[in-house]
Amino acid sequence: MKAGMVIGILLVASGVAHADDGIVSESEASPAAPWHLHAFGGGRFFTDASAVILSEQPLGGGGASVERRVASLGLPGPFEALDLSAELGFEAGSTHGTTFQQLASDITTWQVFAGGRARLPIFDWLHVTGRGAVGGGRTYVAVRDMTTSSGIPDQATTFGAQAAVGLSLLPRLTGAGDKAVFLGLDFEVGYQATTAMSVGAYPEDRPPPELTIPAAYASLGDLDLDGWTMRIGTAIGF
Amino acid sequence: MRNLMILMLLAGCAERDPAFDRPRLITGPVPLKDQIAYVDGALDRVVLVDVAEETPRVASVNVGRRPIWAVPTPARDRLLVITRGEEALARGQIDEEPALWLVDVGDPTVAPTRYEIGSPFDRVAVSSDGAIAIAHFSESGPDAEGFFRNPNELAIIDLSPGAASPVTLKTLRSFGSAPTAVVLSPPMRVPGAADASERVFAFVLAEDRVTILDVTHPGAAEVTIRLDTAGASVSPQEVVFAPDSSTAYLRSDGARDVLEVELVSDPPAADVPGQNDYRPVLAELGAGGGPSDIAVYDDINGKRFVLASTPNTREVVVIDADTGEFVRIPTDDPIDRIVLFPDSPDEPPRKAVLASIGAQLPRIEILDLEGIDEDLIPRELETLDTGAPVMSIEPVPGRELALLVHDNDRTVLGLLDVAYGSVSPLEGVARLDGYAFTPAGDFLVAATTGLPRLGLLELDNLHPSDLRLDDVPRRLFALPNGTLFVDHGDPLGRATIIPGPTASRDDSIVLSGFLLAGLLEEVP
Repeated sequence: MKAGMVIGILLVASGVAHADDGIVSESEASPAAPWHLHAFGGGRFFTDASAVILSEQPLGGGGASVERRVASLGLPGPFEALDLSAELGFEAGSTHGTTFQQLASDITTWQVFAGGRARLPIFDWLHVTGRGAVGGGRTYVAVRDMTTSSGIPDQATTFGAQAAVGLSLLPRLTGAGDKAVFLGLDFEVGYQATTAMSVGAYPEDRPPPELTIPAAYASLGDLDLDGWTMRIGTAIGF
Repeated sequence: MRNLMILMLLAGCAERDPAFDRPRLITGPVPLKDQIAYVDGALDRVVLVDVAEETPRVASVNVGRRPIWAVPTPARDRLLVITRGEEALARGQIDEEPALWLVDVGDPTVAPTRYEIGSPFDRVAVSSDGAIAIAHFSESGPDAEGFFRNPNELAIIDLSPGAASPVTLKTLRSFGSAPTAVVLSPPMRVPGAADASERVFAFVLAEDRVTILDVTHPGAAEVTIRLDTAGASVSPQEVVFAPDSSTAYLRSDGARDVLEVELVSDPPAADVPGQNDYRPVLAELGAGGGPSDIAVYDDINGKRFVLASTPNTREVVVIDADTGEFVRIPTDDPIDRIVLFPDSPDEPPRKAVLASIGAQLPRIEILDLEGIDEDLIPRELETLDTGAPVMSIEPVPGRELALLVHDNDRTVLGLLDVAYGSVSPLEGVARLDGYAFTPAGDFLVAATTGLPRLGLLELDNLHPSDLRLDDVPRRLFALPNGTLFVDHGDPLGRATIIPGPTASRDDSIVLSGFLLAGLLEEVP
């Protein structure tokens, strides 16, 4: 619920510019570059009890994305324009934890995402951004007993939605106008909601089913990796 | 960064309950009627694997903090769990007193009954009817927590539903020693007592003493019998009961004879509350020479006999429990083990197999019990050469058969047919780490921890067969419904459930991960 509210607010914030008049020429109105490449690292701080049972550490990782401006809206007041971009990216993360001083857990996830970004240049070199995206990928979880190395790995396809607000510090590196290149830093905080993954106790050392006794596997329950996200990265605008 | 993390926490990040950082101690498996129970000391729950139906079901029942001991009732339909409790010294801990939990394993949806036992007892004894339990300290005594501890304290718990004040704490008179064991009698009547109802007596064994408690009337005083009045130290080891005559027979290390303790009526004085309506009458049954093993049985006419082996005098003594008369049967060997056949509650034994386990002799002797009451005529012993030293005799339930173990590694075995007086050697490929006889006594099922298979021996014709497993076995149980349960020793829970000794691999099922079932949904 909390995640849904956060995403909703950010998506509305991203899309509010559509209500305004006056789509202007990119090159004339916006001081920001039309293309941005992002490389980032960060963490996801779990908000669901099921995840922290396995790991108290955030899901750490990184990713990359490419952003292309699709419209630039002229704004009244002190700011010249609000850029609207489409974005496509990939990210992956993992975390490790110990439960009961005996069970070692590894959670790894990757996803591709697509979404939109609203970029409000405060100055040429400082932008406020709002971002929303949806995506899907795979999540792997393994619980292993440290005394025997007995383990139960499982994996599932998961889907998610994310929203974030941030700042981009993008000083111009070279050139001007259409030939300008910007290089700088991104910082953003947000929230990611994912579909829960049902974790089954499938032993990793088990031979194929046709060679084994029929088996039934207990369910550990649903693993929900929802959480607050934080990203720090570099960006190139051109 | 630290401030950011604090901000994240304030924003609603989940925080793990400290209970998930506790050490994980799994007790079990404990075989029950149609279930196998495991006690999870980290999640404070009993995990039940129900094998009554074709598809096994896993259920869990929450108990108190820090379960330390679990024991089933004799009928194996309920499980008693002692929880140590804890003190709230750190975040996530709670103040909880030690408790005994009665878990109805037949219906895991029913909340277990909690009994506040007051002290951190770590053992429990249950009466044969499952109506009364006694919580007590083990020989190692109380743990290090707390200030004062009283090793002679007991908690008598009335397990009847709706008991008004089910727990009675009692401290036994002591002469410097602490209890080593508590044995509860079957329900029995005290002949001639005004209270003719059946009651349960507890025999509390301690160095140089035995204490008798009428636990059906826990407010009554205990009776302490000193065993060292002759000077030598005596350590009581074994109690067997003759409930029809309200008698117990006590074997002790350091004693020359079997002590007969008969409970007789002794009406209390009207003005002395809490006084018992019985007293024990003691008799030393003439075993002589220090009995090493005793066995009690009722013959087909209901007459009770006590057999006692005295290796020091190379005799077996047959005692008429009603009269105390006895006869000595000389033996060639220092007999220290008596096993009665058939081993059945419904059939009186017909033979006694006598072995010299301590001397590790390659022979046994068989005593025919039929007609032994005819003037107590000494019987001839039949000596049977076993071909290898006898280290252990394990009777097959309901049959006149026994498994003989010939070496410490349990690799050389034999099957003794008591009726025919024969021993058939059994050749195994590895050490016998676990075995079970099926409830009907028709199969011996065996396992070794290094080999992923079960060995099955059809006892009627000694036909061996195998069942290949997917994992090496650790523990093996034959449940009353005929199901074979093989635990693989996986801390995450892995077991193979086999419907019966003739079932195939396709009929069987492996259950995996049941000890972690529902872990991600746990709310400590």
